[in-house]
Amino acid sequence: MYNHLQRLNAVFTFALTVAFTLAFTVAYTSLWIPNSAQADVTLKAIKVRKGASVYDGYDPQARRAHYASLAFDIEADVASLFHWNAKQVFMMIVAEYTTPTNSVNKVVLWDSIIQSPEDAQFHLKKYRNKYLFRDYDEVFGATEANLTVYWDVTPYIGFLNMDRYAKTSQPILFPRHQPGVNSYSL
Amino acid sequence: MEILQTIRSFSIRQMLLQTLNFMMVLSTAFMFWKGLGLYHNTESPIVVVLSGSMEPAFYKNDILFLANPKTPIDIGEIVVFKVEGKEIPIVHRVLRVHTDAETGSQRFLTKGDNNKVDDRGLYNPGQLWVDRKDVVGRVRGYVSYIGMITIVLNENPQIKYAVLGLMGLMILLSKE
Repeated sequence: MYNHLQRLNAVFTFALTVAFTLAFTVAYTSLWIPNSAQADVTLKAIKVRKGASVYDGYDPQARRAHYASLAFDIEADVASLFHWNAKQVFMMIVAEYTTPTNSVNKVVLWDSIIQSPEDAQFHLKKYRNKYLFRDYDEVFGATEANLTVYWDVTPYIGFLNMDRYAKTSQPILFPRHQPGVNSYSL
Repeated sequence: MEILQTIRSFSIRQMLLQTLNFMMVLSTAFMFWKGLGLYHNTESPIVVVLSGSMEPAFYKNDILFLANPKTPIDIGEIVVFKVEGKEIPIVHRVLRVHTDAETGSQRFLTKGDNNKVDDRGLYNPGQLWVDRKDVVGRVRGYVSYIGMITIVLNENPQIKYAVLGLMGLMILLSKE
């Protein structure tokens, strides 16, 4: 009645259907899993200096631009973000500020890839920014900013950018620019 | 020569019907692709990851679903962008965003999670930023491994044509 090819076809089709149904279920149900986490960042020190010693081969303004060095404490526990469909959590500390040139500036200062809930606790003291921090303009056009912790969950399968939350924004002050001075702090 | 006999047993009318059927399958797939792209405002709604620069989030052979809504792109989002004059788009994470106060247009600096440095070395000489118009899509969905099929097919054209030919034959020769 049925030949081998037809039987094989039926088995293959059924297997595919089951796999896709399972994948869809996992993807959609993980949208409803509630998630929240604790993350606090406290600024300890900030200093701005002219980048005379900075080497950045791609940035022609590097030697004239002003760079901010920050030291901050990170107290975070994002283990609760790991549910059955969470492969990794990408955590960032972002400086957000407004200047006359740019209405929105968001710059990542530090980031971390977290792959398991065991590695999701942070008690870091006086950590420095991982990436060079300079404004779009040569000199920082802002005197205040916000330090915000962001995270981005990558699933095993399914939707991205659905549970990105900015938490615990902390306002900070930038040292005011003093012309002719190469290094200034608060 | 069973196949030839099967073909000979078809009337012209049946033959044309089968061909039409085959075309339907092809055009349905094509319209699904284009419709998805139109809905999500992107020229390529599904892309395959070709390199390991976003590991451990994305590995080679994973597939990504893209959408490109006009809303502002946020920091930490993973975007697919093209560098002018270069064919292959890049999938990387947004490390810096600056929104022009006058025009409201965004500029980005990107970086691969698995790379030590940001992407300025991948941009054109003298280019410091990725513009909003260079962004082809924003990653919205993720499925691992499936892209392997397209990579194998693209790297071995013989297999691609064999599979296509086989599919065509099966559809042409199947009787309802």
